[in-house]
Amino acid sequence: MDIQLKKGLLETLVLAKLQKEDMYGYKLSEEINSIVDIAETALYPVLRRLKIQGFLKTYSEEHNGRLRKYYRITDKGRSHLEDRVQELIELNRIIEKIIEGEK
Amino acid sequence: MTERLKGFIQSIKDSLKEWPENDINEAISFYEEFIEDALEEGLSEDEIISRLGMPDSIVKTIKAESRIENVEKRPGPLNLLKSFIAMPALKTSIFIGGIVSFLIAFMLYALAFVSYMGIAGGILIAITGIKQISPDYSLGIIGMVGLAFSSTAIFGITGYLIWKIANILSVRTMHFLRRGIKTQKISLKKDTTASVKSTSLKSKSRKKVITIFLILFITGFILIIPSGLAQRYFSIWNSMRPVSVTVKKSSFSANEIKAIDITTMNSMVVIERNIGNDIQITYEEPDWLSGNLEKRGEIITFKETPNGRLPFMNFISRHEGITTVKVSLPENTSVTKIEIKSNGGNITVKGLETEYSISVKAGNRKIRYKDMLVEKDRFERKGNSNRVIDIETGNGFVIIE
Repeated sequence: MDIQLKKGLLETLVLAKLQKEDMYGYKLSEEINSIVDIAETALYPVLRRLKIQGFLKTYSEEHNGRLRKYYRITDKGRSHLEDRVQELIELNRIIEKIIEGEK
Repeated sequence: MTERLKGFIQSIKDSLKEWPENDINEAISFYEEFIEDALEEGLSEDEIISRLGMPDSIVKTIKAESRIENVEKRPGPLNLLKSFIAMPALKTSIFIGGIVSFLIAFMLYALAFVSYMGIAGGILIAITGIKQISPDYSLGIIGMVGLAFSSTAIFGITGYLIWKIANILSVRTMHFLRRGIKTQKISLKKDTTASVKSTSLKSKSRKKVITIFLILFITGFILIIPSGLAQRYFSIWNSMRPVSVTVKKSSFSANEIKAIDITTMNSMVVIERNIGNDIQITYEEPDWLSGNLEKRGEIITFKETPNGRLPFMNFISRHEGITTVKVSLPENTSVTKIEIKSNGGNITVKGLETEYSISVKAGNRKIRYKDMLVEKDRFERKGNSNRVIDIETGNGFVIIE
């Protein structure tokens, strides 16, 4: 599928996934890859930026004798996500109108 | 982890060598963890590597992102330059677009710097001005302090705003360059969330700075008004008559004087004939100048000097004044030598050119003899006696009628 994820849609997707539960890198990548096909190269910078913006924080937990980094959404991230979702709903409404018009 | 995957991680590490250690560690641990988790899930080496992509494309992305972050966090000419140079190779079209906006941003930084230098210039002018004002005119001194305030505010706000615009342009430049990195399957367009956040944060401090400058400007302005400096400069600059002048008159008997020596800053000088028996000297003294008339034996000296009310008088007096020193001589007089010097004032000699030899030094095309423009900066004319008039003016006209 050739999807152009624009203007932080990937960020929104990451936050939406993290809202359900805290996740580690690989798991998050799997979750997101089940929806869109992205390279890990794209995921890491997104996580880093979200962290710098204070939308998510990280903590480490032991797993099989090594530390695994988990990502958790912050309150700020939640309210940001809410705003973005509202925008997307609005956008979706417009898209539906366009598709209806096509028929 | 297998040797091949270890090599994969190592090659990322090596390419990031000069990077801050925290940045490297964070990135490396992300990929290490990813690989370990993937192995646990039972993915093969090949699958993992194909999902991660080439090490050098990972490195490119990390480097570029870190550069963009740098500019976002601390925009400024140095960071922009460093980050711009360190951006990985880009498509030509992106690079050309990028370098144009990069150069514009840099020019704006330079402009802001010049404006900041203007603050120093304004303060220097005010200090020099205060030194030249006599302590009697305290309002003038306060006015000069006001000038320092206002000019600081104007140059400060200009520099500050230009700098901010340059900052925005720097961040935009880096975001634009990010588009050119062709390593990601999904091209991430400019990050609106980040810029919205940072601009809204900055605009708070921007308002604060603007308010401070505005208060400074208004304070300065209020301090300047009562000093009257602005009006005075304006009127001198435009050769407007001062609001009030003190008229001083003196007369001397026609035969007691041999020489007259007149020096003015920017008042006009008029030498003419009168029908009386006395030499008469009239001076209209504006409130920023002092005229000092002295008689020493057979010589009259008149000297116009600044009285300390206005600073930079030597500079200002290059402008023609509209106040006058008038010397009128009777028909028969013993005056054989008249010397006139002015910085900026016009000098007029009426009805004396047949009797007196006249020698003039003024600016090119500034001398008029009998309604004719002299195309030189010097004029000499022999009279029918050995009496002489010597004229020299810095910036005014010399008119001989």
